[in-house]
Amino acid sequence: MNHLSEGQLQAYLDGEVEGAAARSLAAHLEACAVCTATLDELRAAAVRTSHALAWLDRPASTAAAIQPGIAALAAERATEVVGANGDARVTSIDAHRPWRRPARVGFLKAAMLALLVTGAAAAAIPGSPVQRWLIGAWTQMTGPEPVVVEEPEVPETVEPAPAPAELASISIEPIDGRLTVLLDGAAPGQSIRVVLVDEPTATVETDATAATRFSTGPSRIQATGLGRGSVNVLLPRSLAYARVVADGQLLLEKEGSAVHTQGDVVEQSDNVIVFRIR
Amino acid sequence: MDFEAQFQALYPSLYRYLNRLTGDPDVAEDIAQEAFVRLLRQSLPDDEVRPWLFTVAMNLVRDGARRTDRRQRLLQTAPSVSGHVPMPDAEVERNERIALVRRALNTLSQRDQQLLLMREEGFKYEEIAGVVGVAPASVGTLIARALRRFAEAVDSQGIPDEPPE
Repeated sequence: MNHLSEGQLQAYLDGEVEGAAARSLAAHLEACAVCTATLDELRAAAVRTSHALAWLDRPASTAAAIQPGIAALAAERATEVVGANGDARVTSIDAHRPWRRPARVGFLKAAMLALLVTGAAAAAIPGSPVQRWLIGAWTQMTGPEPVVVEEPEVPETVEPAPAPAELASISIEPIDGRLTVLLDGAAPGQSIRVVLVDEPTATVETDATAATRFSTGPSRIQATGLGRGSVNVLLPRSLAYARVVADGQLLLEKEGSAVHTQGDVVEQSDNVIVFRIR
Repeated sequence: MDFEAQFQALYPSLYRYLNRLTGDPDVAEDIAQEAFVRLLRQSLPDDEVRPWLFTVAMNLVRDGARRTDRRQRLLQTAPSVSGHVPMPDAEVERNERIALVRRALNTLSQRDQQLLLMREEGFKYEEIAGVVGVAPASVGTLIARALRRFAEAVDSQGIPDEPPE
């Protein structure tokens, strides 16, 4: 039996293989223990890498992030009125407009408000660096003192109780009508519920643990460290193409209105398909 | 191009990528902001903005360009983190962990670092190939090798496999 190359397996793991090619790879993996083992090694290396790199993350400081007033400048989008005497001129924010640093405090707060209200997707993740940065930055802007969080003491002789699971979710609006959902770390026997929804936003929600992490791209949602909690995947019905992959196993592929399932289906209706992880 | 939407969607990712790559949060902020300032002068389709930003940012990293006036202002206005208050043990341990991870990352070539970090930011292989400057068909193989090398380097540094809390 010819084995798959590491490049092929890595591409499969990263959601780069679609359609018939993906089904072919999945079928090969079903029958080849060697390739499955290699896939497991690559997956483990990827998770190890994500965990390690997360230690490097630091929140951007308030002043540096806001200083240019970029978000405020873009949010402004208004014409300036500058008069004939030199202090008023009709112009617009365009490619050739010289960039001007706006009045600092007002725009700083406006920019922070814009960032907080509309909220980058990553900021929705509990405990994410972006969320901590936004909250800390807003507090610094509006409060007299920065918030100091003290970690509770943990007795050395007692194992700390596992953190209670809380529902965490991440959503994106796929840009080109295509979406790949990658779920890693699901436990055997765990259920994954895929729901077709009539809205433009795709969502992955799960009972998060300390190890749960989300990452996104324009057409991709990845959740790692899922543990044993429930997982819901909300897929817009309007997507031209979508697939859900759990630990390298293709569960579902949606092409237009057609939905193909490959994983263990334990429940299925018009809008909901429930898979059980082997 | 909706600049504000692009900024809110992409700034955290670009900053995180640059901070991980350079190891310097100040440089990461400077370069990320400079890339967005330059974006203001462009008119790009939405799907080209992200690879364009990361390409510009990488060029800036290579050139070592930075806004010294902005950094000086940051130094003047940012609250100082001085050594007057003893650092908690947790913070010491975190800094040590960061140094070990940084050391592991620096065992990779800059190309391999870019590959891994762009993958972490959810880029497609075709986009990675365009920014890093490799053939799209080779990205999978290069990433697989880089992941293995980095995982081995992390193991050799004795770094436990656990994400930060």
